[in-house]
Amino acid sequence: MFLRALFSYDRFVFLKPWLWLKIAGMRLIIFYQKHLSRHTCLYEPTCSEYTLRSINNHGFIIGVLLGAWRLLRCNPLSKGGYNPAPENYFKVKWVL
Amino acid sequence: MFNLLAADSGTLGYGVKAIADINLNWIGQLIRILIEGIGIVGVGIIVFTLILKTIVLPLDIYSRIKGKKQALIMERMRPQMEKLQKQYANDKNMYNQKVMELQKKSGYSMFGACLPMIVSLVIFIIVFNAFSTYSQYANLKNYNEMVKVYNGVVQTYVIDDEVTPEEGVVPFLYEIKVDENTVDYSVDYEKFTEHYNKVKAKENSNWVIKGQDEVFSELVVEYKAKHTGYDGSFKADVVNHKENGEYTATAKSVRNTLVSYYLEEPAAQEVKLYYEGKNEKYEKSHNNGFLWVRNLWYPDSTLNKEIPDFAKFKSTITKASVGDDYAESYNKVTAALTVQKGHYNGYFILIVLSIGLMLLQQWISMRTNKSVNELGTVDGSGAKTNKWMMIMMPIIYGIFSFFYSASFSLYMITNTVFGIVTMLIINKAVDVWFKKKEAKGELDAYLSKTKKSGRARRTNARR
Repeated sequence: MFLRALFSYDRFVFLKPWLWLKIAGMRLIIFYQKHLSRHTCLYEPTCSEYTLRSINNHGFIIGVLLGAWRLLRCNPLSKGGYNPAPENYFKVKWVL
Repeated sequence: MFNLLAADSGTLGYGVKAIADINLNWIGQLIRILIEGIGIVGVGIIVFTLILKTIVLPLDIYSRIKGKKQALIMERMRPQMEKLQKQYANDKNMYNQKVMELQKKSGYSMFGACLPMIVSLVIFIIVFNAFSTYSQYANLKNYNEMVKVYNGVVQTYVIDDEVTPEEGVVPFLYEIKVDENTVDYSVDYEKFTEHYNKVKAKENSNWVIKGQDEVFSELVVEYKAKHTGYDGSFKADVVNHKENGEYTATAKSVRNTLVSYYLEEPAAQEVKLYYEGKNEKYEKSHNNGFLWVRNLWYPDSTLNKEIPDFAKFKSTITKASVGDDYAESYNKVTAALTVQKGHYNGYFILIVLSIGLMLLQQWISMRTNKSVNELGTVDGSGAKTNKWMMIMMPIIYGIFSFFYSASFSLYMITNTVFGIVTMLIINKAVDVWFKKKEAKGELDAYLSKTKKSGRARRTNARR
């Protein structure tokens, strides 16, 4: 029981330093969505949601890079549309 | 004062130290060129802001026209939307779905792209950084100029074979190069006495020429009168103390203290003349003030003085390495600027003005996008978020302007005023344009015109 609790994801994140950066980034994006966002985006899901999901799927570094690329695409010249975050098909796990 | 001296060598340990300049990046250089070209700091900042805003203006116009168009479409959809809002008050997802269908029918698209927001944020951060660096640069440069003036006074007393001394001056200092940046001086007491007598004789025609010991005794009395905290540790008999016909080390150090005291006063006065800029020699040498703000490179608040004390000065200049050993130099240079040390730098006016204007701008832009905000979600929470933003952002900027310089507040004010004016003009122009279209009967066609590229169609199909 104790071991299971140790490896469960949400409660003992503080024991897993390699997840801290990822969690912090995701928390930051959630804060932005809650308090700062103007809910305007050309794409669906929105840029912040896209970044959140890509960080979740691919880890912090690749997720942020994907999000940045998406932000660059989300300019007045582009047409927008449906563009979900890429899946991590092979379950490649990055430390960050 | 006493510790300053190198007791044995007879050197003065004199001269104040300048602090190494800060390097500016290219935006800082641009600001510097503008300010130096125009001559008045405040106007330079305003011009810089206007140039920056004019560059970004096309993007602004584009997004405003688009926003206006969307607001108009939303206004036309309003009755249907309100009906939907009532119908699906409990089902957010269903409402969103229905709204999307309706929006697609009437040619409404999600309004803004994300990139312009990021770009404006990045521009803001770059400019903010440039201003905070430049204000440190300007304050440091100001201080270094004062140091130059101060040391210039000392330089007139240096013995140099190539330069003929000024009239009424007998040079009495020998320059010693300690290393590349530091200069020390040693004193020739004989020549100093000669100089002292010459100056006094010029002031007073009945002056009797005095010997070395008499001159220094006189200076001690003067020194005691000026330094009320003086503990009496050197007396006139120390001045006269000799062993084997040579002055002892203590006597020498006392004499050096007196000579540096003798030099300090006129040098500080020269700095005062320079700072006030009323002298012919230093006319228009610098002008950091603007309106009621005495130094634009400090915050416009009563918490700051025009010439701060050393601790404050040190805390404002974080980009250069200012050690505590500069305190003595700083205090010497600013010794005569007692009036300026008492002046408040400003009265919070610029800060309050910038916050107020920003609120006004938010309010105006909110009014134009009213329908969009209200109908964005079922419970109108879109409007609530914007209200939070509307109050929070100006306050954050206000806190920034407390810690940085008044020039930043000035930048914000110019920026906001320019924004408000362009916003009003564009709104008016778009209104007129839309009215013309309506008169021609083209408005409906224009509003429902949806641009779709191949890419968008493809992504939609994939869905």
